[in-house]
Amino acid sequence: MSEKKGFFMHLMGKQAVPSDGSEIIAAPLDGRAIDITEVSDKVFADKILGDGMAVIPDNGRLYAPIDGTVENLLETKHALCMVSAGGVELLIHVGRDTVSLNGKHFTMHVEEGQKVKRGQLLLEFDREALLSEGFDLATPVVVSNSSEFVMEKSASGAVSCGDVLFRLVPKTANN
Amino acid sequence: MKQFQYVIKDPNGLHARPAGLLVQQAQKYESRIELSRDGKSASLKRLFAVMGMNVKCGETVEVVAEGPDEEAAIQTLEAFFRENF
Repeated sequence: MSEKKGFFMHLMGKQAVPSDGSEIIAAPLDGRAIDITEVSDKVFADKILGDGMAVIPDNGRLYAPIDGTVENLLETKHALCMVSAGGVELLIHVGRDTVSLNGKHFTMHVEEGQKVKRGQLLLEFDREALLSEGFDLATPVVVSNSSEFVMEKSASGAVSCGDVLFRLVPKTANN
Repeated sequence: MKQFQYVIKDPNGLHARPAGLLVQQAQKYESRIELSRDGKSASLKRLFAVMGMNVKCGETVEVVAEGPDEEAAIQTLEAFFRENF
């Protein structure tokens, strides 16, 4: 546990854009990480919204996976778009078909256009209520402009907020 | 240049999942394709640009394509809007 915490602090202190331009996308939730191809929603599994991973949450608190700007909040509060200083366009979508709830069970803690730091609380959702209503809560974290980066994914399995979910290295003109 | 207008009927507007499918369709064409509403426009080939428009139910959008395959692009996209939004 203490080792995990140490790692988290290590991440928090890191520059958003290291010298090689790579960016770390941290887990936004405590839970179990899976590859995006393993989620039940085919649109996400087929990477139509971008490549990435998903986290099956253990609780209902979602934190910023990068330093960046909240570009867009869906009115239904179940998804949000963030852009990092390095130009990573990240879409986080809590659960499957949660758009139909029209915001019920979700509380947003940030506003559109707000600058946030990695680890900052973005939104909360009532995990138990959503599960009891039968929602699949696997939460995709995908890069909508993933073709502009080389993505190095961490292994699937248990994750805590702040653990590395994947790393992105910008493609240069040479590769 | 080819174009069409469409009134959004989906109660959730142009939300993430179908917007992703829409962008995927648009990316198949070489033509420049733009989505506009109330004088604001965005590339229909970029998910974040499309979602950033915050298009809601009841709003009228215009899609304009310009390029070698503009006719086919507009046909496909108009059909896609009718089926999905």
